[in-house]
Amino acid sequence: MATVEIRAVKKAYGATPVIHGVDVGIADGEFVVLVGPSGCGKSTLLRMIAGLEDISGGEIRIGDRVINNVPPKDRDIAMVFQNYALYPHMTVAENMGFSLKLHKAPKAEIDARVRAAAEILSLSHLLDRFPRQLSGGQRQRVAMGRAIVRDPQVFLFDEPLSNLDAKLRVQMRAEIKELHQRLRTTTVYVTHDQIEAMTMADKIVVMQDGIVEQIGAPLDLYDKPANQFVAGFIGSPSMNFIEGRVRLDGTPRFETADGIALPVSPPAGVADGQPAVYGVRPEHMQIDPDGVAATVLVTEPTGAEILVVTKIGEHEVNCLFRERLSFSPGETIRIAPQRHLVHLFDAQTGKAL
Amino acid sequence: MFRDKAPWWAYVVIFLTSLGAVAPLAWLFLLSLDPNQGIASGSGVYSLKNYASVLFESMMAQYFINTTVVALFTVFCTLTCATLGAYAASRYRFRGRETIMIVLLLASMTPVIAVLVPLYAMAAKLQLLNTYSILVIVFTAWQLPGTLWLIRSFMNSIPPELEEAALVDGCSRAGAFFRIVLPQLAPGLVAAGLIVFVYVWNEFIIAVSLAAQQDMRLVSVGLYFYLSDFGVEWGKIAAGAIISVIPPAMLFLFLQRQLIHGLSAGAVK
Repeated sequence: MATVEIRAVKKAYGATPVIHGVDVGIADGEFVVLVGPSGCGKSTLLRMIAGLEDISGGEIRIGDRVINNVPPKDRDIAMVFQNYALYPHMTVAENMGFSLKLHKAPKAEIDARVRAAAEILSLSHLLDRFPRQLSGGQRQRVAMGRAIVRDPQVFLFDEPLSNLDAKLRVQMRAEIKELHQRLRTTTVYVTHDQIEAMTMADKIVVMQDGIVEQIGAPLDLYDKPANQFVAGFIGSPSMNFIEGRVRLDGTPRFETADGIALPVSPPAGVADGQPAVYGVRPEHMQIDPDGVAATVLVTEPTGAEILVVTKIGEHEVNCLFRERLSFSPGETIRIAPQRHLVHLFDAQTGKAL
Repeated sequence: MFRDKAPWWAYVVIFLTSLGAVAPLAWLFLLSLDPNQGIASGSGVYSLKNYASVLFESMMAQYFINTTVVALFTVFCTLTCATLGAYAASRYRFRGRETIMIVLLLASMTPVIAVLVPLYAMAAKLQLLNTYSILVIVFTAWQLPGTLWLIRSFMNSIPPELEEAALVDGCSRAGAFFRIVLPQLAPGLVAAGLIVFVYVWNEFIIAVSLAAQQDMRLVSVGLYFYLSDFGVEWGKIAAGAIISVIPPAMLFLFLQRQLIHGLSAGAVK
């Protein structure tokens, strides 16, 4: 187990920069999730930690060692790939024992460690099978088994659950988390699924276009997003954004161009009339007789909650209610955001105010 | 899957096509058993005399050895070069990669006749006429482009993550190639190797031009010379032809599974 330090790391393909100087510190035993939309550079960053991509600038340390020019085989890492990358011509046991065999471990030790890992992952009865004879979930487990057999300094996961169906994904998510709690190996996990990030991470790194937008604990990102991108990316369904101006004359409020006023507690330093973006999460909307009038467009009940797509003036606003409410399309309801849970962002920079 | 019963005429078509393919062979076989020297003497007398004569009284055995040696070396050289080239063309991005591949393909479209005279002149100058070496070199060069294309398409169907996983697991780049890529490539190599082997076995023009000396002939050349060496001895030619079909036919038989697996790789997941 070890820390991982990523300092001012850059990556360019020819003249095209894809990662523009990224700093991330990962503590020993921490579970860090790199998350962002596709093309944000998260997989590239992971592959640089693995040694599968050259590092164009900056440095990466594992423990005390700068590993920029260390070949993958000497980095003491294990990686789980999106398509599992199991060796088709080897049995499950051979797949799991391959790296130990390469490191010339005695056969008895390989057997023992493969068996122990198989036990943890409930693969014991499959050790003689070939990958093609396994289901998706079993292959996923073998890929994880191959990683844990080695007891490496760092685990790297590259979107390991994206090929599984929804139910299996939830199950494996819990298994990976449980595995991490048991082994406490430093883990870097890449996903584009913010729910995976929220549920698994000790710390989330949100990336976009090759830069880090925010680093923090899952709930910190949810409660205090640093900018509009993070606010929109974290949380599902995603945050509602409405453009307008902050008004401080009389009761502080947020006013849209079409004259709708929304409650706000403006932070210090915001000027009267300052253009801003109003952000409120669907789950922070509530039915309020004193609220603004909204027209119901669509309702999506899921049983546990109901998502209501409404229109306030020109603005589409999603609301998520835990109560069993029933609305019909076209109906006018009165809703209001919970004032203390409202976010304001700078209209130009998108930074949180 | 498509499992409807085929219409009756499909069977007729298949039967006639098969007949067209098999009939000449059958006729050749009958001819080879006819000790008399007519194309269709119909004497009703059958014996293995022609076979004995071809195998023990002529140089045919030597021709077999020649052909086998040349074919095996050609297969080895072609597969080695093509695999390494295909690996580079599949796994590395470099300027002009596709252009090189296209030029290779174009080169392989040149008719043999067009290069025969220069080839002969070069071989003569290098004093390589009537040697195994010149045949292996020329055949390898000739087969390389097609084989490289074939193997590259196999290589492209092997996910690069397999190698990356091996790199992380502790392999060097070469180690990953030999331990992971090569085993996946095996069916493709078998298919490509068979194609090259059969090519050498059937090749005539280059062989007769560069190695016509009696003890260096390949089977195809040897058969041809029956026309002149003994007059036109149809029975012996037929027996020689039948014998010469056996090795490639056996190879196909034994490697059938890998061949089909190889040629259809990537078609269905």
